[in-house]
Amino acid sequence: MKRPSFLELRGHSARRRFLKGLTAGFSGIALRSLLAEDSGWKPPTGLAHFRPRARRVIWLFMRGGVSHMESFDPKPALNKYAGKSILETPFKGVQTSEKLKKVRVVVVNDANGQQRNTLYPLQVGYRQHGQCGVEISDWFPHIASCADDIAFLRSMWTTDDNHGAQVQFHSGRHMLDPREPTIGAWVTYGLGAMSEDLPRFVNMGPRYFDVRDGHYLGPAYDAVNMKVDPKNPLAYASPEVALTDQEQAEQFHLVHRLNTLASEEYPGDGMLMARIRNYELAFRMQRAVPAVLRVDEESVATKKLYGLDEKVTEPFGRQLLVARRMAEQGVRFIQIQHGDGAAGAWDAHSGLKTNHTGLSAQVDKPISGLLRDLKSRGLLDDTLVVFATEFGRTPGSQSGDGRDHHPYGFSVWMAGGGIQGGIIHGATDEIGFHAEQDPHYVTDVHATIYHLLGLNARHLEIPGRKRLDRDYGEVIRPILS
Amino acid sequence: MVWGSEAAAHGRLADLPVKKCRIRIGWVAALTGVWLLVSTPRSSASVDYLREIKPLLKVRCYSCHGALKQKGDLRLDTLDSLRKGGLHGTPLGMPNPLLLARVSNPDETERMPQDGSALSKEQIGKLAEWVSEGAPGPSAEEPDPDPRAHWAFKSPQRALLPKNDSAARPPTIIDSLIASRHASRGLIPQAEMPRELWLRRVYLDTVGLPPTVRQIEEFQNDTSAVSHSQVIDRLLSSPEFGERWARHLMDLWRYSDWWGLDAQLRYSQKHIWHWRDWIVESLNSGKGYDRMIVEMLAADELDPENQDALRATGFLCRSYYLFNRTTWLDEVVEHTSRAFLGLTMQCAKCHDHKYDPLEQADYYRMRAVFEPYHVRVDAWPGEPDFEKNGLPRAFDLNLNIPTHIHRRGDDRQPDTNRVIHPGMPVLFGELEVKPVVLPISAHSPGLRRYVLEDQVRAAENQIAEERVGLKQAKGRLEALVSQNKKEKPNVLATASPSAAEDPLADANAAVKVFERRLEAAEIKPIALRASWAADAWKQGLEKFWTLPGVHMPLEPEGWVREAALADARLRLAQTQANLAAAEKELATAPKEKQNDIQKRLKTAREVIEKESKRVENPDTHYRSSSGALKALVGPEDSFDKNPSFYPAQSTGRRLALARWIANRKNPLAARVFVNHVWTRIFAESMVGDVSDWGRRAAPPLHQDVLDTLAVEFVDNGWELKHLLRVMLNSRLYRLGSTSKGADPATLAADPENKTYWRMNSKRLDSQVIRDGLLFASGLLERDVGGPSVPVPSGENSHRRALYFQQHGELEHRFLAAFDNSNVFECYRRPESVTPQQALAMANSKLTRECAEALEKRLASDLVMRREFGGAKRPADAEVDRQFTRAAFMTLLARSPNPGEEEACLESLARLGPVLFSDVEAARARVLFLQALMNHNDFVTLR
Repeated sequence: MKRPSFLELRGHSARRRFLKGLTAGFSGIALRSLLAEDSGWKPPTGLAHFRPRARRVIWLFMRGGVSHMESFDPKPALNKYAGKSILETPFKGVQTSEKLKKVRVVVVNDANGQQRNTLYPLQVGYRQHGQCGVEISDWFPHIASCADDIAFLRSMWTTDDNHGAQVQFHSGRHMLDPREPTIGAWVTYGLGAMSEDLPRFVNMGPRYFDVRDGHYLGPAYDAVNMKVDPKNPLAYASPEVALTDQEQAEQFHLVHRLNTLASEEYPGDGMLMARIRNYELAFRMQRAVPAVLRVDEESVATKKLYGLDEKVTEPFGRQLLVARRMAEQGVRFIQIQHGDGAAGAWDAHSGLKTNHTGLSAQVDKPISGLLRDLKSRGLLDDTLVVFATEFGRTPGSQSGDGRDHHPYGFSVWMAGGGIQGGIIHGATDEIGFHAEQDPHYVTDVHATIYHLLGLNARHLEIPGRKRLDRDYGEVIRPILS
Repeated sequence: MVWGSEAAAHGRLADLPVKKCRIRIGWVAALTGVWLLVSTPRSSASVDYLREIKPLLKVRCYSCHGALKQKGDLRLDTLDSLRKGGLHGTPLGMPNPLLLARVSNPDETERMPQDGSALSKEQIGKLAEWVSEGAPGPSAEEPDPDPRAHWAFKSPQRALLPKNDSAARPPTIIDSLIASRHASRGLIPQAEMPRELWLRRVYLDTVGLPPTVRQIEEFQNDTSAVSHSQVIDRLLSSPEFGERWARHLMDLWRYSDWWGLDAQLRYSQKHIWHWRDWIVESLNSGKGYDRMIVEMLAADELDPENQDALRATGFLCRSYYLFNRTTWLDEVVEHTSRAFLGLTMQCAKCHDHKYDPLEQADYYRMRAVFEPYHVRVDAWPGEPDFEKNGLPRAFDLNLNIPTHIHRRGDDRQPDTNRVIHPGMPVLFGELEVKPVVLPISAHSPGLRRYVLEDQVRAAENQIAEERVGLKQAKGRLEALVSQNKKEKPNVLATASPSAAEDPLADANAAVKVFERRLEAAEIKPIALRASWAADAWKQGLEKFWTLPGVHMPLEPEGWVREAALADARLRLAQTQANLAAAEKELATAPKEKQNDIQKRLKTAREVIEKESKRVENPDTHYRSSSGALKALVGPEDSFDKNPSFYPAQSTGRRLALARWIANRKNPLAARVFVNHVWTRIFAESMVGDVSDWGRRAAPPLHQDVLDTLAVEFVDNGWELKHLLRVMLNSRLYRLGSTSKGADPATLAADPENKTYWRMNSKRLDSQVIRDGLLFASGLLERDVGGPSVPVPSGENSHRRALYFQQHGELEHRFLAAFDNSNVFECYRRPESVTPQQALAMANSKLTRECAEALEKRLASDLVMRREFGGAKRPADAEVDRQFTRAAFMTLLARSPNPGEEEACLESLARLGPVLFSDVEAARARVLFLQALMNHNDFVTLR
């Protein structure tokens, strides 16, 4: 007898039409019951509120704090005044600025997160790049070669002088405040799934100081943690006790049959319908997830582009190549964190030169590879790439050859859908201390993402959960194309 | 999805473009104050007051100029009051309408609204246009209602029960009210669900474990009228009841084990599982919810020597946060008020509440209640090591610390001109605070008898250990000596020039170290006893008890001298032991370490000199006996500074607050709890947001049920079991959850089942799904209580999931897939349906293991008939049929219908090869069971 494979069940067009209406992941009762008759509140439709410029986000986050002066905001004044106390320089005003008061200290009198007064020279050279002539340190030559596709934001500031700033960059809220959903959770809450087979929101690499993203939106909006190992990409992705494909297809087939029979006994049960649909999705996801990780299918040239042929660049390059494949296949928000360790690898309190030389070598080529690859496939038109870190590093030296945490001014960049390339927006002062010109709090980056995705974040608010003006941020319009 | 569809949405959903040019004029006019420019009367009004003006005023102005408050004697909630004006004039008066002048004033101190950002240009333009049109609007407008009249702020009353003319089983109060609503609306409820499904429901709802096949059969055969209520009574008195319902309460009360960065404790406290065990025990013993509240907030003030009750203050220990006291107290204020009162205070931290009658000062009054409290871990009887066990508990440490309002909620800007006194929101009245005098054992935990006994026992064990060590060291030395004699009979056993090459010298040194250590260890119990006695005397403990080994009382001061002498001797001996160890080390250490060791030797010699003097000439210094470990105040604090004595009084603030909350006069406490229980039984909340009962909460459709249950609950000792008995015995609880066969008119009138014409289905909680799998397969371990199972071991543990460690850093994979509770807050669990859930059930080792165990159980129960002697034959269809039925009964508590049976038999046949052995047949059945575990109805309560 011919055994109908579970996959063949997908042929029924009427049911498929019905299922199309359900999104992957159905966050149930708690939100539903808020639909009080008089509140007028409705959950998002999954459609953009206005015409989007981008449809997905690749979020690259460097954990620990990248030195802005030695990456995308070089400061020759540091060489000129090297070894001098800030008070002996024309910039002594930075240490009395009102801007210092924005910081909310978590760990009082910590060994880290302090003012460092002796200016420390740049540990690497820099030069101008692209038509826009942006100065970029020699640690990032490959990203520099894409300068004309990138909008550099040199005037970021945040309020946590410790690594809780990682949470803050994702959620907009300081560690001392109650937890809020992160940008990835909001985006996937606001916009429906684009893929039938893959999760909407994926995290790769070590996580920041929180196991959740969704918080009051519910666990359905937490990122699905994925590894690039096709054998073990995510929790329960494949049978933990051996099973043939045929056997498993039979199991799914039986569950499907039984649930469909149950639906006759419980007509109109939305949860049951959603569950039937999600079994099907799960079955496909089991195959789709390992498939998306199969980077060996890519051409030699593409793999080389991401540095898969070199030991230093291979791990991060593989994640980024997977990210591109996910982008192609409809994952909405791809969050990639770089830098192991509790605080994050970029946290160069000492030995900054060795630290940043090594880490930049791990990420530089893969990131430029990602930008080039996206561009050559036309994906950069509607994919937003964000490069961020929780804060910069002090212009002054710590432990002789390092730099401390620096929340008052730092750099991030954006590229892709709706972003104007070759833009340098905002500026820190001459020694890279304060964000002086067009300063931006971290949620301005979120606001820009919402805007480009066609979302009005204020329409996403949930009854009883008041978000503050600052949570929404302001769109950074000068960098839009 | 293509661009087109998103673009189409754009057209529908985008903000409507505003009439820009007219607004420009209005805006310019606003700034210059020349209102006449736009005040030309128009023939017909273009701005709609109700649609465009009132909502704006409501959101931005009513909080200060409405029913809640009337600053400047001004209300803006009706046109009449707008026209009437306040102390400073009339908002709509021409030619310079105050309303427009104030909202567009560039001076921030003058500008309205004072809270938040200025109105947008568009909003001001709209106001200006409306004013210029003569501020038209409806004439008879209802003012905003008085917030104190909000339904939830008034005490609940029992509803008058409608007359019951049914001759059937007397319905519960729930049924009378719900049935009369059905009757008045002409709705027809569903029939009762099948008995076996009711049984599964009631088992999982009360004890969190499914019924066994035998229990189902017994129930089906029991036709007596009281069969249902007997089951309910039995379940509510089983110990598993407390385990299940503790988990619900742990959600509400944010249970969390400690976590931090590596070894640094940042959140919660160690050994907080004692609080979890207290919850389980309290529920099983039928302790009233009112008493539970009081114990959780103030057991240290209510019953300071009752260690069992003190466990309850784990509620306050859980919010401990190492780095920031304000963040810590913010959590306590917010979650005390949300958990017990269903009020969110958070908004009032920075400014007066916009919707509810809560002022900023109210927030800080509540903070003042908690301001003095801190957290410590008391020694646990029998375990002197705080790492291994201990009782985390709350106590008042800083009795006189003032509370100030933080300007705009910023803890760096306290308003020190004003001290805020403890209280509850003024809306509810005043708190009566009486300080509590604490017994000695509470403020001087080191003086508890068991603390000394445990420490002395530990010290004696140490002596025994050192003796063993010494014996071994001597043995090694002797062996070396005799070996040397054999090899070099002429050489005397003396140290050679280089100790590094001389094992004999090293062995000699080792003996010396152990001798010194033994000396120190032998002094330790003496020192412990002497300190204890001296402390007891200092604390005015007159009849302290004596121990063997302590001389009988000298004059009181004598104890202090005795303690100081013992202390000096102990330190001397300990330092000598250190010295001996350092000397031994020095002899064999590599060069680069020699300097460090020399330094240690120098310090040791200095201490020895100092302590030797103290031994000859004792002073009054000694180390007090310590029976508790105070939680660190910030990362710079150290346990070296741990105090031995704590304040002899407690402020009584928390006790006062707790007694006000847990009081029948409190309009919220009982109702909020009843609704939580209702939500967990009937799968829908009666109030929209279970933890926000402020003015935005509309009066519930079933307020009569809610209020009557609340009064019933309070009248019966606030006992959860009683409340559950009412709910579970109801007819409503027996209704089918399907809408199949429903009366069409009923279905059409109430498709969402707001009137409960049927029961609601619900997804089981993550812990219940996992425990149920293990239970059904006979693998569940039933050990009760104790330390939490670490997350990594949780994957393989077969204990109930309630006992798993849970905190903000690591999640249990399987539980996480099914919406496990969030330790930051979880007043209600979401019920998501995700593909990961299907994968967890399909692919986890857990389900496979359970399926294998269950297969063995079911197969051994069945008579495996083999009618074809010898030869391997296809499975006997009858065997498969029986197996399928048993599997359905075990996992879903019902028999398969013919369609289901057919599907299962076909699957079983396909899962097994054509000719198969017993092993292969078993494998087919395992895979079948694993699939059945993935059935929607396994994770669902029908």
